[in-house]
Amino acid sequence: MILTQEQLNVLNNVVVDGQAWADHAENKFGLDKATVMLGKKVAKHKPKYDADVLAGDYKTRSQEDEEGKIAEQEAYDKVEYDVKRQRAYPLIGDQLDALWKGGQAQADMKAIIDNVKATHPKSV
Amino acid sequence: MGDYGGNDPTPATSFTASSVDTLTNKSVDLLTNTFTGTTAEFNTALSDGNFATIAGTETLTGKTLTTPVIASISNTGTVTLPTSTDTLVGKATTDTLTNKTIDANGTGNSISNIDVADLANGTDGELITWDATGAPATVAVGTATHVLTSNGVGVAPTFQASAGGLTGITDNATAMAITISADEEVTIPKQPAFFAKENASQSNVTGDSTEYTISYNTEAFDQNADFAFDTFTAPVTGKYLLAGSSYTSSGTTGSHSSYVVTIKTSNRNVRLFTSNTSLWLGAYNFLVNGAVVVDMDAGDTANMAIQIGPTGKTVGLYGDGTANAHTWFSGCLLA
Repeated sequence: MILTQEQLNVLNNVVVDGQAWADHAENKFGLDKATVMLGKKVAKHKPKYDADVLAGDYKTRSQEDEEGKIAEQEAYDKVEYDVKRQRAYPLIGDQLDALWKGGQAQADMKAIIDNVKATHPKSV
Repeated sequence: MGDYGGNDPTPATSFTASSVDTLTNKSVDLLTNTFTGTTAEFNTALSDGNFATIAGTETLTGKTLTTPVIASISNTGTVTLPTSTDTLVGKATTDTLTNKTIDANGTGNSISNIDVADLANGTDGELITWDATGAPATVAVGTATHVLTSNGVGVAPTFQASAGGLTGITDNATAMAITISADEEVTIPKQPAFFAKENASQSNVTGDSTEYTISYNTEAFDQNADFAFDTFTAPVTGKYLLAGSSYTSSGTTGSHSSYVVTIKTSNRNVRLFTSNTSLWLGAYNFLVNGAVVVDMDAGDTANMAIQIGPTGKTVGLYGDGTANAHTWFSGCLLA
C-alpha cells in the first residue's frame, strides 16, 4: 500500500513500522478495507502527532521504544553493589556442589566469588 | 221510403233506428258521425285480435317500437336508453366496462369485497403507498436484506439498508450476528475470539537476548479467522482482552540473568513478566502467564514475545500435542 508522507509520519508515531502495518492490513483485509482502516487510524492518532510536531517533540515509536530500553537498563544498573553481586554469583546449587566436592572445585568457586566481589566492591 | 237523393234509380231498402240491418258497401265519415262503445265491445267487433288501450293493462306481443320514449318503468326506477348503438349491462350478466368512473366516496356508494387478485398487476416487490400530494404511488423495490424505512411525515417510505435496528444499537450486519437461544443464552458467532497453542516443543529460540515472537501451530478456535500463525489482527477498533502463557522447559542456565515476556500490540507493548536476576534460574521449567485489556485499532496486530539473555541461545519453549496447553495465546473483543 502506498502511503502519503504524512500518513507514514502519523503511523510511525504510533506503531513501530507504519509501512509494515499498512502492508499487513492490505494483505489481511484487501486494499479497499485496509484503506478505510488506515484512514481511521491516521485520523484517530493525528491529534497526538500534530501536538508532538507543534511542541517539537515528535518521535517515532521505534525511537520511543529504544529510549524505553535505555531507561530500563539504566534502572537495572542503578542498584547497590550487593544486588549486582547477587546477579553475578553462581547459582547456589553450583556453590553447594563445589563445597561438597572440596579441593580444586571449591577453590575455583572461591575464585569466581572473589572476582564478583572485586568487580562490584562495597560502596564507600 | 222515397228517393234518398242522387240519381240512383234503384230504390233503397228502408231501415229504422231499431231495425236490424246489414249494411254493405258503406262508408262512415267519423268527422260527422260518432261510434261509441267499450274496449270489450270493440274487441268483440274485431275478428282477428284486440285493441290495446292507453290506460289499460295489456300484454303486447310481436311489437316493434321505433324510437320509443318510455317515461317510466314501474317499480324499478328510471331507465334511459342510450341514443347511440350500445349494449345495456344487466345486473347478472358478465360484462367488461370501459371508460367508467365509479366514485366510491359518492353519497351512498361503496365498493366491497375486493380481493387482492382483483387488483391490477404491478411490479414484483413494490408496495402501495401515497405520495406527498396524497395520490396513490408505489414504493420501489429495494435490495435484498433492505428493510422498509419511514421517511417521516409527508414522504413515502423507502426500502433502505438497515441502519438503525433498536434504539441505541447500530446494526450494519449483513448476516446473523447475535443469536438468543430458547433458554435466553446469547451467542455472538462472529465476535473475534481465538485460542492458539503450540503442540510441539521449540528448541533454542532465545537465551542470547533474541526477542522471539512465539508461534502457535494449533488453533482450538478462531472465530472470524483473525489469528494466523503467531499474530492476531484486530478486524475492528475496540478493547480486546489478550492473555498468554510461555513455558520455558529447556536450556535455561545460571548465565541467563534477564527474562522478559511481553504481549506486543501495534499501539503498545505490555510486559507480563520481567526479571533481571539469575537466582531463580537454572535448569528449571518456568511458566509465565498474564492477561491485559488493550486498545486496538482496526488492522492492529498482537502477538507474544519472550526474550531471555544475555548469552547462550539454548532456551526452548514447551509444547504438547494433547488437548492441554502450556504455551498459548488467547484473546477476544470485549468492547
